[in-house]
Amino acid sequence: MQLKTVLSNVLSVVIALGIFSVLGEVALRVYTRYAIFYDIEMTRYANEIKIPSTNPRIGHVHRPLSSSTLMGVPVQINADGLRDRDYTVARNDSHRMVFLGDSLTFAWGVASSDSFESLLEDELSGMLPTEILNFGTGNYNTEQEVNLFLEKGLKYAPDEVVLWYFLNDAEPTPQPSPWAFLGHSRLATFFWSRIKTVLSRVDASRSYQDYYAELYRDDAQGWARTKQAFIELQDVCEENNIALKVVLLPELHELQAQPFQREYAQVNDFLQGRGIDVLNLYPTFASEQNSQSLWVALDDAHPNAVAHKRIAELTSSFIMENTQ
Amino acid sequence: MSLWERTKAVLVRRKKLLIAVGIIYIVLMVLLVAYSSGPQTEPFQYQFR
Repeated sequence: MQLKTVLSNVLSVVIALGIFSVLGEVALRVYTRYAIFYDIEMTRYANEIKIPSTNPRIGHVHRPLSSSTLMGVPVQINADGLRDRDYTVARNDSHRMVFLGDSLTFAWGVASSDSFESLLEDELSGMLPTEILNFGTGNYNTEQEVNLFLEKGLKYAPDEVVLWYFLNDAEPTPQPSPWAFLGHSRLATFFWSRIKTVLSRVDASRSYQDYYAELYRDDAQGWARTKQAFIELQDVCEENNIALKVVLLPELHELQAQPFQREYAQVNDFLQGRGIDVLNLYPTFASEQNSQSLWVALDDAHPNAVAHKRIAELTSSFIMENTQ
Repeated sequence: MSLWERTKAVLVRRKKLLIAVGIIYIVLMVLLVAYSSGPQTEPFQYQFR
């Protein structure tokens, strides 16, 4: 075959791929106006709500006053970059709490009014006027949560900080990806998402079980930095006379089998060893027969409104303990 | 002949190849959806940014 023919065939294939990619992109954009895919919604969250932080230990923050509809629910960010109403920095007579956490605390996939933060604020306010500031930010680990608190949270002079810990909070702090531009393409997101899902089913090391367990190996960098961040937060809270509590939020796969008992015990033991008040919700959810009934969607194991309500019910007395 | 006209001529000559690529593309997408549907099995992961 002549070189010219080979080049002509290659060019035809490249052009055909280009044409079908453009058609695929258009089709997906139309389809996702009506159907919800977790990974595409998370990528929209990154594009529409998140901005880079100047602090590398924080990585990203919410764009103040941004808004979007994600997973079918409205998301409104306040002037200080929180998914919450605006609060004055100056204190009033209310008891003031700061909630630190990741996408679970942010209430991903759940209306703000159904989040455990809102439910607890309402319930606690019935006993004592209470303000709860929700610092929950998607994709954060503990190090990022603590540094966000140091940068933005301390000025609110809270009486209490509650850190809502999830199993993947021991991940290393993510670095900006050189592939970030691909997030603007629905098609690229679609392929990335579907390929990683298929890989997680054929390669056990890519499944959530192995991935989460690996985060807690003795030599894991992320876990070491997480422990350091907890110590830093405890010191800052003590210096500023702020009560510190930690709630371990449940991983919502296989709740009856409890595959992550060892990892939860590891975090629980570390915190108790440091004298930090901790409530582990993982065993409390072991009686749940249908784990998926607590998920936001079949492809998204974040807690839904039912799970948020249960979390609020199970934690209110712990949160209010020793509160005057 | 302009570049566009030359490209168009190549594509017209390779019509069958274009259709074959399109069919492979669509079949690949359908297979990906089929094998990746169902409950979430991968961990929550950092999204692009």
